[in-house]
Amino acid sequence: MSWFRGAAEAATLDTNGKSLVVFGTNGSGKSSFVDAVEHVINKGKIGHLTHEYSGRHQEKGIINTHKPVEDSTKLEFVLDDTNKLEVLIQSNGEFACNGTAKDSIESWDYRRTILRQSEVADFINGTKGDKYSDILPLLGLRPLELTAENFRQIARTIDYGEDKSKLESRLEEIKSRRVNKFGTINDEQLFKLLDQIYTKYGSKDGETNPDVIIEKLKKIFEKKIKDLTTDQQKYLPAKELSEMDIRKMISAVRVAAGTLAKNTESLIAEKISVLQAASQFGNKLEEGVAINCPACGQKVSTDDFRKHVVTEQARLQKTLQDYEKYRKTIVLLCNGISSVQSLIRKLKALKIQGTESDGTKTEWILQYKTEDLRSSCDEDKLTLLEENLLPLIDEIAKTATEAPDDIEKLIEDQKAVAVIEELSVSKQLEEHLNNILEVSKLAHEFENSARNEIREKSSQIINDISEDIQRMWEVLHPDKKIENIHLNLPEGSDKAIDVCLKFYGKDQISPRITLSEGNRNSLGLCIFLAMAKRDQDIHPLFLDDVIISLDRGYRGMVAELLIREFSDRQVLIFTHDREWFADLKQQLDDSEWLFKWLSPWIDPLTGIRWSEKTTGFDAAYQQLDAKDPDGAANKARKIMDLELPLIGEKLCLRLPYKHRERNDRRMAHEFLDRFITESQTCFQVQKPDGSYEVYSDGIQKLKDADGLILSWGGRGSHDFDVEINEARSLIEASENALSVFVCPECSKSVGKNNDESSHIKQCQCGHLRWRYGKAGD
Amino acid sequence: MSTNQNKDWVEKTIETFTAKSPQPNLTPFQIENFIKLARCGGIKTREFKSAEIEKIKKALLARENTQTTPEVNLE
Repeated sequence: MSWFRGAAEAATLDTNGKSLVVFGTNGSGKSSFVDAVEHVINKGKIGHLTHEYSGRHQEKGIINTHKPVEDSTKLEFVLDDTNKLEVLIQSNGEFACNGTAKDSIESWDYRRTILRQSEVADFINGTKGDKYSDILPLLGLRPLELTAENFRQIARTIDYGEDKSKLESRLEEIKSRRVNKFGTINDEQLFKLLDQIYTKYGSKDGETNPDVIIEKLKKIFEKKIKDLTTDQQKYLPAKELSEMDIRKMISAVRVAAGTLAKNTESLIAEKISVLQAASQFGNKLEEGVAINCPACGQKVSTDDFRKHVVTEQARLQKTLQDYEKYRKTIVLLCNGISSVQSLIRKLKALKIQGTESDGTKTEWILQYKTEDLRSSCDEDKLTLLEENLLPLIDEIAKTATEAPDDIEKLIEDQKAVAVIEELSVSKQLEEHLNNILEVSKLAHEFENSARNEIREKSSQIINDISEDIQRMWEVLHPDKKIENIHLNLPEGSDKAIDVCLKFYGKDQISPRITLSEGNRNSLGLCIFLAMAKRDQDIHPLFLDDVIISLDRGYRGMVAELLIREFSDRQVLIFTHDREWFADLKQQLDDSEWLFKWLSPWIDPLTGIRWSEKTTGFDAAYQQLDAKDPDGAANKARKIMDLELPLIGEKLCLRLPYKHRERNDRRMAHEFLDRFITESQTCFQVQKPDGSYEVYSDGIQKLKDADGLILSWGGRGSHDFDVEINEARSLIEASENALSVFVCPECSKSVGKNNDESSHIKQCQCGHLRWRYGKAGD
Repeated sequence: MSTNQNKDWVEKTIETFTAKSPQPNLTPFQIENFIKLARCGGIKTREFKSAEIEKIKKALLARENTQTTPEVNLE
């Protein structure tokens, strides 16, 4: 990393292909490495920097505040297979990624790769839907989920599309004309009537095909009308116009508008958004919990709240239907007006004028633009229509009443045949509509089928993950008080997952009900690891200070868990817990694990630095440089207090039993004293001829350290003054004392290899050995 | 697992559908288009945009293959 987060010109984390434990005090730069990985995985976004102060591209947080103008902010990743990824970040935070490892690293799923302290319990605390989204990628069912969603959208588009609604409107119009003309008589009766009309007009050719009869009748009517005088022809449009019930159409618009009066469009839109928000709120609520209703303030159960939201949505649906009806009445009125315009034009062509003296109303209606009415239809416009159109229609209707009987009959028959002709059109439209409905049905079927498939497949995978979680939990918490932890797909919900468990024998539907924060975090860690284990994309895991709320006993088991479950994965652990770091150093195999120590961070230009040591004496020397000999001596003694018990445990050092917690409060001197005593018989170094002798040099170093710790080690912590030279001697002696347990030949610590039959622990090459079976001999 | 249980869900869906509507008001062309759509790569990798949905809707509603029918091709 260069000038990224806490890093200055260069900070390199070399894992040498191994797993890794990094210790660093708060602010030493551990998380900067994790941030670098997140920056790539999340395409330039780092979760904890997502806030209003970090800048549009988080540049204020990502770039080292003291980056020299001429330098760049860069990240470089090198994988074992030598594939590389380089990220160059500009001053405004925009970045470019290049290299052969780009696709590989960018494909890592953040939620399976990185776990930070603040995110440990996120899965448990998330909603059922969040949990489902988290698990979904693991199930490998994302393609099916997308398929289901796409089919849902297709079905919706068909259900609410124009094709369907236009067909429905047309069918409704045809039906309305039929009912107006013939009432409720059936198709068979209509065809009988058609035969009668056909016979009446003198055709006795025995034709039975209704379509042919209709075509022939149309020609007969056409001829008869053509044979009429111009004066007689005026009755046709006049009659048709007089039968158009424009009055009724206007009235229908008013009725439909009245129904909607209380629900204006804006209110509907507002209500929809409120209900959508309420529905999402309802889905996020835990089952069976009482909440205060946001509307009335009364306590209601979540189930009741959800039902209430569903009822409101149904009520709104009714309003939307009313709105649709209103729109349809307007469409009918507009179509009616267009017909009137067309008939008036016909009358004009026949030079038939109403009694209207100046023809202004006729001109007004011919100029009328129905589009205006379609876009907005208010009371003023309806009144204007009534004032201009209705008197004109009434006047023309008078003309229609004067029509001779034979002409009137001809018009009636022509109209009856026109309505009967629509029967076949209506059948075609119905068939078309049914086809659309069937297409929608099949689209819904595909959606449902995909969802069922998801449910069936996910059930098996979720069982497998549950087994992993339960097994990992048992490693961390072998006491069995919390058991049967499993993920559950709740009934009746397609996109939800619960975490259930048994708490002291009683089933619980969520860990949030009974588990302490520490246990929740511990469970969160197990869930993360179980999901990471299932991730088919093999990549390193980054655990950033995740054990902070775990008790010491459980922390120790985390190493056990990693050894058992992740021996085939690279794991990078970052911790500020010195004790846990020392524990891990003892527990984890150093042929597979590296241990690194970050020096305390000083300033932006110095940046992130690695310590040469792995025991933290650098920090003590740093305090010496800062003219704090008391603090330096105290730090050295603390390191000895921490490291010696761990070495003692590894080498089976025997110490007298002390009552209860006094066992855990032993100081460095007690261990050094015991090591010195047992070393005489236990600690040996190999001679050139292959035989062993007492490791006298090592024992002397232990003695030197013990002497200084007794003299000065306690002073620093009890406000005695320690001189700089004294503190330096103490640090050096302590460092030397710990180094005696590391082989100068193979660099491995004593205890790396264990020969139980001979009660010997030794380094890897056997140059140094500890014969714990000889203790006390 | 029996052959029946092992059947692709697309085929299973069509079977369930025809079992519910033994004489579906859909043409073989429409059913074929549904199968093509359900099996195509595009539908599994991302959510469709509204313009794409509109195009697919037209293709699914077309009852026979005509030159004006948009192809359901979202590979």
